[in-house]
Amino acid sequence: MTDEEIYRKHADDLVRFATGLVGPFDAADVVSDACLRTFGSRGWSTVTNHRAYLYRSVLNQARSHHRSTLRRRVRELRAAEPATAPPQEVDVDVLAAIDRLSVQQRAAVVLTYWEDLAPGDVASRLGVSEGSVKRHLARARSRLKELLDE
Amino acid sequence: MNDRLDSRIRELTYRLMYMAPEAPPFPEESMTTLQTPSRGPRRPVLVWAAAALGALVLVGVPVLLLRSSETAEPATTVPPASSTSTTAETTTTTVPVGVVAFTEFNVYFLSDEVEGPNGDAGLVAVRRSQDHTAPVEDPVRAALFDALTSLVVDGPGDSGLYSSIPEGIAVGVGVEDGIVTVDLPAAFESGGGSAMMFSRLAQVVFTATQFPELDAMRFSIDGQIVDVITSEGIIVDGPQSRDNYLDLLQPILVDSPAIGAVVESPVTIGGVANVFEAALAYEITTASGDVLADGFTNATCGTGCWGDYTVEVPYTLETETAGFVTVFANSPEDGRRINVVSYPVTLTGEGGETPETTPAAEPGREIAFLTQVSATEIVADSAEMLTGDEANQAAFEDGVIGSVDEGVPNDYYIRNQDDQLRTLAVADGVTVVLQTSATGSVSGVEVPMDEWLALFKADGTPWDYEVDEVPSWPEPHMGYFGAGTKGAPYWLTFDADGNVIEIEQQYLP
Repeated sequence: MTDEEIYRKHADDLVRFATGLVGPFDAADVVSDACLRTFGSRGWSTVTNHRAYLYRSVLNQARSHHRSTLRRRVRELRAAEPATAPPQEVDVDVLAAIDRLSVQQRAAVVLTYWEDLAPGDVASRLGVSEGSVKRHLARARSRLKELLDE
Repeated sequence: MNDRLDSRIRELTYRLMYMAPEAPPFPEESMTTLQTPSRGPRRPVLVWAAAALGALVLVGVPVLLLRSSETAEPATTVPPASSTSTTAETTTTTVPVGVVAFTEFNVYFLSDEVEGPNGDAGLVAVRRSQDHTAPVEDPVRAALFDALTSLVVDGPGDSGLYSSIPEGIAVGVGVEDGIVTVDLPAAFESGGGSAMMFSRLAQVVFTATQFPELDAMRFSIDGQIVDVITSEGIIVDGPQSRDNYLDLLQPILVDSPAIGAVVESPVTIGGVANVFEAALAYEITTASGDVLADGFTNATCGTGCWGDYTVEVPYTLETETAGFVTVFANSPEDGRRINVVSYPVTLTGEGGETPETTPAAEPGREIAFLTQVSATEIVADSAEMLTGDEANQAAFEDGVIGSVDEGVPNDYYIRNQDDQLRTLAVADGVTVVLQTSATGSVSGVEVPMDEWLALFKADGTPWDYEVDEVPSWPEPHMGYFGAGTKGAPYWLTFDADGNVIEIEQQYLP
């Protein structure tokens, strides 16, 4: 399978995953940058689980993405005049909610609640231990509960 | 489980997912840029109509330019502290005989021993020094000037390394507001294709930005700051930093120590890397191959992104000897060494603390990694097992996790900052306890000493794996969670004489 075929196979999932990590505005850039670096890396040819590797690359890229960017976007969207209000498809409250989570917690939430993966499967997708996934999920749930109860 | 909370989080996640944009197109063009030497990496950007962009003129910029000798003679000039005139060119001056100071610096050349990203030579750091016969008022600027002179004018010499910088040219150096200006003649722009030009620029940028105080630079050609290297259309606008050139590097760059450095214990091993899961291994060996120290460390980022790494590695050696500092990654496929960068260095003796041939004097228990085992002696590398907030803080400080908030997996972290090895006597009748899941849950089981020793290599050293990365682990190792690997921690219990009376494997989830 060529890199392009691998990319086409996983691109939609990766963009959704990245949306969960950095929000919709920068998701495409994060995926592009992660894939660019991955396909250009020398280790890529030895990778057997392409999907897991690409997910980890996107997660790493998202971690190096400036965390304040999403917060700034949310602030700008909330401050926007009605004439320049965000398009309906942009849900500012949702973005504000995920801004409360660490990138790792966001990853655990997206893979658990969107992809319906069990903690063990999330762990192997992200290359971390199951215990780590469970802890991130527990913290994410706790933070989101505070927010949703407000 | 709070079903209502779960359903609300699920709904929130779905709302988030519905905001996802279209997938971007396959980054084909950029890929070509990365993989084709004739076009170079994504940054700096190639612009073929470069001439149209023009160049900025340096005139009037308050910058002190120091110019090395126009001949190929090594420059021995340092910036006089009193010379702060604008756009001045200071020529080489004659100084009294008698060295009163020297500078030390890295110079970056290319080596066939290190495979670059396109299969060509990789970038390596070489340690050099320059004697001065006049006092050095500003050591950093002096070292900067000496480093660039050494790079451009001296070149690699007979070191067996290469330089992509044309021979016989001079270099000028200026500093303003913490930004270095490197002035080169027009000849710098000629010769070679864009791949060579990128290497050329990278050599200059890495050499010019090696000091933390001065980590950005501009290129100037014949006294004019330029935005574009015109011969190849490479944009160099704005302050250039190492980040602009990372994609030109092999997966591991070792900045410290540099080739030819004279090191003492502990050695600071550091640089940048882009390797699988940011996991790096290092080794200090003598020229005859004796391993003085080895271990693992993590870069701050990996698997597709560049991260810094640095680790202090102590070693013990009686007399000075030639040796190597080697940094590498282990293949995620089969654990073999890949991306190996090995620098010849001089290892000074008595740099490390004398190894203790007797163990901790007090009875007690400590966790350690074992580097050599036998029925009578074990060589241990003591560590610290941390949990909770302490573990998160330590792991963050060590660069293992990106933030304290992220937390360490499974709420524990084994910190092993001090790689000092100790040879410990094993008491007769020592108890060895390994962890096994044979009973359905993880529990300790006492095993005969011989059975435990058989899990290690024939020479008593551990297998070169972490406990969870053993590719295919044959019997009799199965079921003992990588007990014979270098990544397996053990709790050692000492009696009042400091002899090891119990060796108990620590299970790692």
